[in-house]
Amino acid sequence: MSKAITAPRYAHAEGYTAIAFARGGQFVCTGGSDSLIRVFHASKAERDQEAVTLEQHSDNVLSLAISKSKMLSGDEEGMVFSFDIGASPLSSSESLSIEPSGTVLRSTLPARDISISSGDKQVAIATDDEEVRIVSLLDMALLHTLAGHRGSVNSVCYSPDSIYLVSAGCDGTVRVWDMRHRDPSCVHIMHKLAYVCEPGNNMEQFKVRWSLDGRFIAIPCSDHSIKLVERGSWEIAASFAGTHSKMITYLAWSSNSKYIASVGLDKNVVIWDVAARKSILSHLCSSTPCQVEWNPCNNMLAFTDSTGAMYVWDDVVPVEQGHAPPFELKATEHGTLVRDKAQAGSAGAANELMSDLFDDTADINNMDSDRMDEDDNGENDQEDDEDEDIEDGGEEIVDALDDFVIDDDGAGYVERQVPKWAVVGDPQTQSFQPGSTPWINNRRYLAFNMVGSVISIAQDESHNTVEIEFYDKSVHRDIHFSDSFKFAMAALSESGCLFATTSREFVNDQSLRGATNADEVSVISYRGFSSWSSNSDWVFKLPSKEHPRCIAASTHGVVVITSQGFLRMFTCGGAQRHIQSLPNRVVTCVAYRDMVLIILEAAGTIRSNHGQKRLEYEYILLSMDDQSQLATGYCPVAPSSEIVWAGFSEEGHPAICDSKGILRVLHNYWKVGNASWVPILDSRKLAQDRGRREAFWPVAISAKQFIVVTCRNKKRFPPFPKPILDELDVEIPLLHGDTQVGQQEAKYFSDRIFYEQLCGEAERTSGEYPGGGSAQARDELEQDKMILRLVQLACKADKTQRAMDLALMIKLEKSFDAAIKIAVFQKQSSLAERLMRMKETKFASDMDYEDEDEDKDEDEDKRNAASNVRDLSGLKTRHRQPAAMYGRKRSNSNTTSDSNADEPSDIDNVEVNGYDSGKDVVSDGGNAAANVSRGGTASSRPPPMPGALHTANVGGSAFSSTNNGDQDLVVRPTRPPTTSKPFNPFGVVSPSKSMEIKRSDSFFNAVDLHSSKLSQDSSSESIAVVATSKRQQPEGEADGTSTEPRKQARKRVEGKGGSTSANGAKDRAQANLFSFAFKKGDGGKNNIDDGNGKINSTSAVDIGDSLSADGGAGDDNGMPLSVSQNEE
Amino acid sequence: MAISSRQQEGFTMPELEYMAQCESIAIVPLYRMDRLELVRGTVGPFRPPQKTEVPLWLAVMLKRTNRCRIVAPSWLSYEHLYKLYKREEEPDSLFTKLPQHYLEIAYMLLTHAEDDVEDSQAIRRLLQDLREVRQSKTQRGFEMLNPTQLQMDNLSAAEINEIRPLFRHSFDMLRQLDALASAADGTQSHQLQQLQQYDDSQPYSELDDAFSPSSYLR
Repeated sequence: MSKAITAPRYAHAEGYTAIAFARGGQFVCTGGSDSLIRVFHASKAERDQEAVTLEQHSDNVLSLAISKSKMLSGDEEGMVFSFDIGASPLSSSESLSIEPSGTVLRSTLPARDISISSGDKQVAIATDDEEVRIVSLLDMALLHTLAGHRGSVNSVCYSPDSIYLVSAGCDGTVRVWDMRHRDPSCVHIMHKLAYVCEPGNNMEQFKVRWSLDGRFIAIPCSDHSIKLVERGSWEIAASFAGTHSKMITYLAWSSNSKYIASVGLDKNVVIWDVAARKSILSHLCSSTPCQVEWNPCNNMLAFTDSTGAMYVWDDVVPVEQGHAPPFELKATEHGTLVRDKAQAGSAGAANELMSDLFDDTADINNMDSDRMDEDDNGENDQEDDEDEDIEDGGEEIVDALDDFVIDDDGAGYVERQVPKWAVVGDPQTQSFQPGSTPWINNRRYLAFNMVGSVISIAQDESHNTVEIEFYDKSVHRDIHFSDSFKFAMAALSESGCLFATTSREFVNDQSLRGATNADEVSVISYRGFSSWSSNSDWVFKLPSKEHPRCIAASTHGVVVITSQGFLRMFTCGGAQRHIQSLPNRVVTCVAYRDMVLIILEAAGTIRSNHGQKRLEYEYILLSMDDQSQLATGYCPVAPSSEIVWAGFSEEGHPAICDSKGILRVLHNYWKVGNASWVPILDSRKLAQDRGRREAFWPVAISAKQFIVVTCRNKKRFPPFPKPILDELDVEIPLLHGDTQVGQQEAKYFSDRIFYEQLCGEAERTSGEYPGGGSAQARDELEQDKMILRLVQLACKADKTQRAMDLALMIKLEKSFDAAIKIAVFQKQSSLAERLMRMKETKFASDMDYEDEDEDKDEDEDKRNAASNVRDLSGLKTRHRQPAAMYGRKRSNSNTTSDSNADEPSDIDNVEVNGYDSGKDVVSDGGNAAANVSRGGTASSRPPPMPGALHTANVGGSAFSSTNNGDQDLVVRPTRPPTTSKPFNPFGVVSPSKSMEIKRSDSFFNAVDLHSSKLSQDSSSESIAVVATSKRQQPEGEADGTSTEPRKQARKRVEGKGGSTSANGAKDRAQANLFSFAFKKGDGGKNNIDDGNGKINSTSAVDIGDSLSADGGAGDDNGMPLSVSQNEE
Repeated sequence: MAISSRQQEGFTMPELEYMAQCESIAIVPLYRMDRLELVRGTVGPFRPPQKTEVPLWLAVMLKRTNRCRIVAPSWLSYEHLYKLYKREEEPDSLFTKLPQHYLEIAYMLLTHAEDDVEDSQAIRRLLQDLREVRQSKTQRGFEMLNPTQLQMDNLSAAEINEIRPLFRHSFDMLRQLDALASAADGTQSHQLQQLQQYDDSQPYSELDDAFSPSSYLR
């Protein structure tokens, strides 16, 4: 039968040549005696392309090992280098990138064989030494040295689950090591089973290999047979013999463990069928083959020979003759899909990167996510199937697998491997400290937040050094101390730093290697920073079975959550304050002032034995001061991601970040039962938008910014020394975020959220809004400005409904007026009208309420009057009309019989109003402004808001003068301002008068620093003034100076009136209100009727102007704001 | 005036450095401080570890007293400069975009805050290379010197300063010669007109103004 073996590809110089396939089967790497590593394309089409050459080594490359993301190579002088395989080793050649990523080991003897554990955590290296070296791939630290072989070790191999390691020595001894324990122990020794070979001879070494389903170890034995040793029982289950006539030097399992390929010194390449236990094929080479490997995803074999040539054997297994293919068919079915995916997604790769990036503490998580990623790519399907095979394969194996413990780097975590999905129990919950990193080059961050960082430096067996570095050097000086406890976690707050040791079970800390296990006692220790108390440090020992899982510290105290499910609360001084039981599923906890945020794994979390998991979280927000529960509920994360950071913003917003880079804040936590998580930033999207491959390591949130360490060059954790922090602006993931509207919406939304939080927090702690009331007013105004911009955009785009929706979100009445004005300016008259009506309902209730407790400080008003009268322009006073309709409604309506029916309750105001209307008569003829203000002073006082003050003051002065019986003389001087600017309320309606409206732009600049509530009050008050005065002008007998423009205005009103005449009874009633003011003066009852709709339309325009005038006035005068007292 | 004629025409390096000190740069303060009211405006407040923009002179001053870390500007990174260098090296390439005071800023940062600049040695070397490439380009520009104008975009202050004395005189001389030549021709009056126009629109005093300290200081 013909064999599809390619012509030799002379990859290397003559000599021993190593070979390995990439996990996806796309590439095959060879290393040879010219100290080069070459990477070839494996697929038929691309096979002839030029190889990528890596020139890292300086001596013969003897061994190669490839995992999902790493390639390791060892050479004859004992150097083991690692290479990072680019994002998607699966995808086409373009994306192939193999970058040297460091030296794994320098030994003095040739690195003979390398095996990478699952999850790329560790690597076992056999040198011609008597020991096997286990090196962590995370930090290249030497973890273990497995001693026991008598004679140089020439082969190592991890079991696929990394529980066992098999090693073989030149003396023919095969040892199996249990890697679950901190000190891996040899669980089985097979003496004199394998070949006895001469150390140092490259060609005459042999390899032992674990089958990829984990059931057997294949060992080339001294009788030129391959023996399969069964896992668990360690009995020889099968022996394949008869084909090789000389020493078998290398063997390889196919990815589905159905076939073995072996090469020997007899120059034969033999394919064995495991199930049939016989050889099915053999191929005689021209020179001695060195290594052979199966393509994991294809019916393809590649082998090298001692001439440095590589051969590829396509379609090895004669599938057409009824043999099963050497790989899982399912895998190839997925294969196309896989490739699509891989090509589609460098984004996907970035995702993987991120999710990897944030797995800082949890080894198992790392492993799981790695595996999961593989599964995502379909790359690892065969592995899944293998697991199923195991289940089908035999009870004893399931048993063997049932309760093993992985401990692949001495981290000491426990995972019960259960078939299929299962609900997770306590031990699986992996807790972490926000802001901590694993060990990198003997250093790690224990804590990293806005206060500073805590760095632990591994020194020797007995102690570490801890450095506390502060950002603000003026508050604390940096602290260094020698740490004999070997603290594994720290929580830093402004007032102190809490340290804790913990059981090895809960932390991935290599520096704890060798620590005693049985009776380890955890210690918590607090270091206070306050200088006044002499001995603010304290230490507690926990009971022997109780270990801290996570700790938190704030200025109000510290919290330790232990493995017993206890939440222990201490004061900063070390007094034990509270103890509480929690479900033993705590993931992390953080504290801010009196709040403690505890994240738990929810009961819905499930994990499979394939490492897949679906994590769900819950949170509990506690108050430290009274131990009450502020909020609790589910804590959402993006699908198949996990929480990697939790914290509080500087303002106290609880926040979490998941491994997909989405930042969420807990909103409305101050309202019982209303808390909800709001995503405020998708940091991974941000990184993508920036077009850089960077990852953000969360540190804190502050003032609408996400403070991160930007990790570049595939690094996962912040480097040493402490890097400069980057600030990412919060960007709420609203739709169409790239458009102007979307941006504005997102900005408004985030502003609102943070504003509400500040208000809520102030309310909760009965404290003050940061920056005081003026800051609050300013922030409120800022939000309204943003809505106004949105309203404008909506108007421009003719989206009137949207504009109205937006306008309804406006908080300040003043801003609402501006919205109306914008509508008018954008010639959306129907919108403007609608908004006018909206305004009634929206602000009416406020007004009524405020009417009752509004008051005015007469004296102050008088004082201000003198200075403000000058500013009192007609424009300013007159624009307060609409609010008068609602605001004044109650007090004024009492005089008109028809509206009394609507407002029967205000009897006490009648007298006052009667008095007022008397005033009206007196000062009638344009000075109605003063009169209505009088009404205001009597029944309800407007607070001295600048704009309002003007009118109110006029009223005040009018009143006093009336008492003197000299009102005309005194009032007149206040008149000129009203007449100085001829007022045309409808000017703004006509396009030609657009200039007037343009001034509304000043709103954004001029209006500032007003208390929102006050401004509402004031505008209502002042508008009342305008309303009456305007009604009187048309009658305009008394004041000749101002009647002319008003008449014009009135004409326009009448022209316009038709459109709004269909107002309801309410409007009529309101219109009637106006009548009372001049009713007594001129008795012009007929005016009420025709004024009905007109007033409304007038006011629509007026308000806009009043607003700008108002704001301008406020700015000019800088009037002190104060709430005045109710006189009645 | 005790300034040499050479100095009158251009600035000395310290003078340029002085001008560059008004450029703003980000720092990470190490001490909490309130706003600082400076003549040029307010800076701060300083709230570690958040970045703040301050004038370079203040950054250097704070750095000297160890009160801040200076955040190296994004262009002052090895990758960025290397990219620029490669682009400059391409034949017929224009000047790459760099801040007007890049040399001065880089010099000051590398002297006073070397620990805050990553790869400072490599950057020093690159800057030297970059400067040389650009220098050779400006020198090639001399060949194109003509009486009307010579465009060299993205030239930094120090580089302009370097060529100023020579260029100024050459321009002057060329212009005079050109005027003489056209006058000698005496034929094409509009050419003369053009020249006069040019004279009016771009008197040299104005050109000088463009490089005067006042414009740097805004």
